[in-house]
Amino acid sequence: MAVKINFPKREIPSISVVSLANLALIIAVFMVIVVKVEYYEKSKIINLPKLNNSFKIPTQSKVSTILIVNDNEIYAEGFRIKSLDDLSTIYLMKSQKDISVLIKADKNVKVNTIIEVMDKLRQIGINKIAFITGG
Amino acid sequence: MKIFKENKTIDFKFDFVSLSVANLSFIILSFFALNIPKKEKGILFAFEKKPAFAQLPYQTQKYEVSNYIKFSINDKGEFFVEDEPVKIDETTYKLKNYLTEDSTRSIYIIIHQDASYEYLIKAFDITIETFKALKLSPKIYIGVIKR
Repeated sequence: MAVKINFPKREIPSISVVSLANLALIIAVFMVIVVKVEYYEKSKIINLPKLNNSFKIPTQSKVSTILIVNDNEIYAEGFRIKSLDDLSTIYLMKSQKDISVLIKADKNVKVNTIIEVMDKLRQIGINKIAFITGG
Repeated sequence: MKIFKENKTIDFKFDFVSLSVANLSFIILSFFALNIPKKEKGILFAFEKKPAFAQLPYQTQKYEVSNYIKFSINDKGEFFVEDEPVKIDETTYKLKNYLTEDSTRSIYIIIHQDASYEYLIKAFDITIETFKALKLSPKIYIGVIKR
């Protein structure tokens, strides 16, 4: 004899997609943090030259930092540049001609490297350049 | 979107309100924290729209510097004032003497391209200190000696 069982009516199951959106945002933040941390780590190994008569550099307006770790390792906007022409790509694409560029260079870097970077920035049209020093 | 399986329905819900406030605030705070401007110290240059100064020795016609005190540094980090070798701790004194004679003069830092950046900053430090001590506004030029 067949037994008839009456199952209770179940609610329609649902999956919330909200968690996916959250996940995507968290991954985006994570990627930004990874890039920034790498950049920060690089800036930590730079041995800045000391300047007793330094001035406060205004950083409220548009500011970009260039890290010069050594004569062959230069970072701009968080990215390692292969040649100085990459600076044109970075700053011209973003049409950031009115920005100030802060140069954080290791004290053992050759003057020539610093001057070449400054020359390139001036060719792009950036006229506000600062040397960041320690001490 | 609905997926039909047999006679059952699964709903994929997307409710913006239920995007947790905690998560959103975490993300917003992270972005703010990453972009906090740091207080930096150093030297700020505001260049005029003139030729790049690294080419200065080759463009003397376009960029004339006159009435200056020559303050040079070679690739070994040795300092010279008006071509005379000077010890680092004596440079301020020497430069002061020249500037006291004629306060309208500027200081022209000429540095070898292979000298380290530390010496360029040191030269700036000495020069700014000299102008400050004499209460004069700094007039500094830089030139690079190429090999």
